[in-house]
Amino acid sequence: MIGIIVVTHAQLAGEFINAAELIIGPAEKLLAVSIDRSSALEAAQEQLSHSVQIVGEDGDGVLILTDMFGGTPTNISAELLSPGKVEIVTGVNLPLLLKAISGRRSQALEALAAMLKDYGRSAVMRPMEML
Amino acid sequence: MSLVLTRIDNRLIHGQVLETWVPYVHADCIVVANDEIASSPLKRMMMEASVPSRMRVEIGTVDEITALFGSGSLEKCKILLLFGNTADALRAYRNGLIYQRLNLGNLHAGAGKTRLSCTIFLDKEDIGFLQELDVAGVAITARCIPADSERSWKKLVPRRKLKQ
Repeated sequence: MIGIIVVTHAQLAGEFINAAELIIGPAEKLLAVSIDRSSALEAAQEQLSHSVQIVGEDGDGVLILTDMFGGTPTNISAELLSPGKVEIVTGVNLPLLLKAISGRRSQALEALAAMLKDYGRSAVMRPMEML
Repeated sequence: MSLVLTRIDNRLIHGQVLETWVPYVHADCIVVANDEIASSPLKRMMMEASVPSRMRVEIGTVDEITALFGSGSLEKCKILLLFGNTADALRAYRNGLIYQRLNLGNLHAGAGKTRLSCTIFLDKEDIGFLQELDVAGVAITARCIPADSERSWKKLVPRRKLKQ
């Protein structure tokens, strides 16, 4: 099964996982990495690499979801990009995370990442437009 | 050319720089002087892609950027200049890339580094480099994001660590 790591500024990552688990119950192979104001880059990179090893143990690949393109969480994740092994989708939102968890058993890593990029965008709505 | 911010930030272009400093100093050009990023196509591409398209971005080695400043091609720009560490900032200055003020943003922990603030960790070598810039007349201050108060770097460093 594809492993998932959420990497964000501050505690968003852990709280995204808390929110997702509140909705769908406990999920496996799902870890959070937080980058705080005082985090040393090397320490954060090490924690991320270690997390990739843990959730990627079975060789099915690892999907990293980050909060913002251009931010440090994305920049440190990019160093781990590897075709078929590690993919990144930026701009994580809750619908995207839920879709990643439910979709990861039925598709390969590249297809999952490509689908999530479109899905995450389509999950941003403006209810006023629907009236 | 106006140099609206010269900053040492080991994260180089990242959220704090793009979301707070760029609008605060009204920069229209970001320049990164860093040998490692300059030689990594992926990191370079990611950093370039993260900058709004209305801005100019120049990424190069410390020597390339020093030469770029000397070439006059940045004449009309309002530049936000980023270095990754104190050694690069000093090397550029010694080679003629002159700046009047230097902002210390993120200089994070590493072996042998002492914590001076939540985002600034320096070792003896860093302090020596900054002191050389200070003596040359550069006003060095610590301020991670515009919302932080600005403090002279010397107020952060214990007096016994400064060479008299």
